[in-house]
Amino acid sequence: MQITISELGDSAKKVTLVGKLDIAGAGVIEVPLAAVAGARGNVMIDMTGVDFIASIGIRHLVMAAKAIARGAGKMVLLDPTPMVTEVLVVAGLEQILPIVRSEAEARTLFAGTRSA
Amino acid sequence: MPDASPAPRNDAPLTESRTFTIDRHAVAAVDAWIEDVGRSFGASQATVFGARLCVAELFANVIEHGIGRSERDRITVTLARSADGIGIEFVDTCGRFDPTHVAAPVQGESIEDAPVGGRGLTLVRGYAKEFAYRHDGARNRTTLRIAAR
Repeated sequence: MQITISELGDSAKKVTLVGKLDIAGAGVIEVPLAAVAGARGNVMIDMTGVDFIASIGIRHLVMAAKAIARGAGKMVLLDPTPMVTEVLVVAGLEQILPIVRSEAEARTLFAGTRSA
Repeated sequence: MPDASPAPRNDAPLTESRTFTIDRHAVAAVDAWIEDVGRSFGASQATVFGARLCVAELFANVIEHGIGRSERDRITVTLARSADGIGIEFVDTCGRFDPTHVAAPVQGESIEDAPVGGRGLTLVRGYAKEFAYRHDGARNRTTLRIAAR
């Protein structure tokens, strides 16, 4: 698992994940993702390069989204693969972790939040 | 998602079994092994994904919650190919634990209400057509069937 953090415009962060979000991958993202989530502001997680996700990976995404929400921000997932999307749906998260299909869609969603 | 299934390899056996140590490094080894075996069975990518996910969840459960786990404990995964999918037997030597009787967490309606964890067995129930458990006196034996997709 690789994690890269960059700016998304002036008011949001982009976190790009590549690889398997399994027990090992979750260990890799835990600290940097928590740091981004705790810094206030909106966050887009680019999931296009994630080819596998298990519940431990979901746990870190939910923890990050909770921290971001506490800071009045929003977290969205960018374009997960169909199989990863299905895992999120089966886990009951399709309403809780919004999925967007483009950066433009993420920016539109962020535009309505206080920290945008 | 339906996808084209590769033809089963002619020399692929009907069942494959392998034993692993119980640690985080072994999770990747199990996953890679299931991918290889699933491909040799001729199962679709979606079917193999379901098998990988269910075993990853059961394995993570043992790593995180294995009752009385010691360094000598092992898991053994057996995969069986059939026309209607992949059968899985997941055997561990830890203390008695029945994953089929773990209640699913109550899902919140917002991120504030959502539980942080506890979704592993929800995923197993969602992906496995059958999910059963028995204890043979020494080992936990969890069996699953991933339907062909």
